[in-house]
Amino acid sequence: MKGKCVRLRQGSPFQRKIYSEDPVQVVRKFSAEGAELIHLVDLDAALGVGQNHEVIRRCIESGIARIQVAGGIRSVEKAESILKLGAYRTVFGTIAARHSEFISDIAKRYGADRVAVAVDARGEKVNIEGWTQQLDVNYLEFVKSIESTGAGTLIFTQIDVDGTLKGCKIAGIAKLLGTVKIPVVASGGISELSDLVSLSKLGVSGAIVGTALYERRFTLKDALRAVGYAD
Amino acid sequence: MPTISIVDYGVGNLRSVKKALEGAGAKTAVTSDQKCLRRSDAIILPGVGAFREAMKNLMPMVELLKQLVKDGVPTLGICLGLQLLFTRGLEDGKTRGLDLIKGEVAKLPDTVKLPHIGWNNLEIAQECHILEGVPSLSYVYFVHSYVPSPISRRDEVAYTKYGIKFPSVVARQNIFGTQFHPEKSSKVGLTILKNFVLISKR
Repeated sequence: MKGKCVRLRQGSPFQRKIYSEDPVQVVRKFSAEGAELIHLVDLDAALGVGQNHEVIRRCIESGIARIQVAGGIRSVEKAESILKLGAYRTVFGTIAARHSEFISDIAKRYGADRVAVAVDARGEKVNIEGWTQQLDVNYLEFVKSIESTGAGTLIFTQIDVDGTLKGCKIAGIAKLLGTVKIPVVASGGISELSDLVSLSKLGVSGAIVGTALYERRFTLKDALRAVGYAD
Repeated sequence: MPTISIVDYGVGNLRSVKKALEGAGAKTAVTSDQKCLRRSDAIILPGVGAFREAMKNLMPMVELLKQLVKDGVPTLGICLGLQLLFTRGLEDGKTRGLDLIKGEVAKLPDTVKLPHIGWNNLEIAQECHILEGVPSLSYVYFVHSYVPSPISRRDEVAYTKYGIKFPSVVARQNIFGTQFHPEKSSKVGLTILKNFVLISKR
C-alpha cells in the first residue's frame, strides 16, 4: 500500500501493519532465503484507491525469484502490462466474477501457466473488490465455473483467518480439492510448519505464507524443508 | 534412472533445477566433486549472475568439464551456464569461457529494457531432440541481459526476439543450451528437461 510492504488482518486496511518501507528489499530477502515464487498483491489497486506499478516493476527486475502479481487486475490491458513487466503470472480476482472472458483471453494468448484465478471466501461466500464486497455465491459453486476459463491455477484464500495466525481451515480446502481438477494453491491463516505439512498431505499444489514469515514464526528455509525441499 | 550432476560452482539457486529434473525422472546430484562428476550420465551447468565471476568460481572444474564434454557426456547449459560454454564473454571486459561452442556472448541492445525478464517465445528453426514435443512459438521464461552469438548458424536451434533475434536454444552434438530457464517454464520447460533425461539414458 502506497509503496510500502504491509500485512492486513482479515483484509481490513484499518488493521494494517507496515513491515517495510522498501518492498524491493523484502523481495531480495525472500529470494536469498530460497523463494522461487513470490505472491505480490497491489492492495491499493485491489481497493481501487491507487496503484503501485513502479514498485512492482522494481520488484520484478530485482532478479532471481519470479513474481506473480495480484490486486486490481481488471482489464486485459492491465494484465498485459503486468506480463510485459516480466511478471511470472497475473492473478485475477474480481474479474472472475464480473468478466471471466478477460481471463480466457489472456490464457488463450499467453498460456494457462500465465494466469491464476483467486477465489477468496469469507465463510463460504465469495468476496471481491479487495474483499469489500461479498457475493451471495458459495465458493464451491463458483470454482466450477473457473475451470472453464482456461486458467492454470486456482488460489484459494480464506479471509476469516488471513493475517491472524489462527491456522488454516483445512476442511474448507479439502472440500475445494474434491470439487476441482485445476491445481489449487492455499492461502490464509498458516501459522505453523504443521499447517504446511497438513496442506501438503491434502494435495494442494502450493501454499502462500505471509504473516507467519513477517512475524518470524518460522523461516522460509524451515518451511521449504518441512514440505520436502532438500537444501 | 540416469544420474545427472548439477554443477555447483556457487552461483544461482539450484533447488528448482534439481526439483524439475527429479520431476522429469532423473536422479540428481548437486556437486562440485570431481569423482561424482566423472560418474554422471549427464551434466547440467546452471547459472545466474555475471560471466567473469562465474568463470572464476568454475576454474577448478574447467579441465574436467571440458574433458567430460569431449568424451561425449550429454551436457545442458542453462542461462549463464549456456553462455559459459562459449569462447568468450564480453561482459565487463573479455573473459574466456569454456570454448566448447565457438562464439561470443554479448549484451542485448539498449533499444530494449534490460534485463530481459519474462515470458517470450521460441521460434524453432531446426529439429532437435531437446525440443521434441515443444511446439514452435511456445512461451518460456527468461531473465538475462546477455545472449550467445555462435559462429556457426548450425548450432542455433531456436530463436527468440527481444530487441534482436538471438538464439535461445543451441545444440552441438552432445552439448545443449537454453538461454531461458526450463525449470521456470512450466510444462514446456518440463518437456525440455524430460528430453534431456532421455538423451542422457542413451
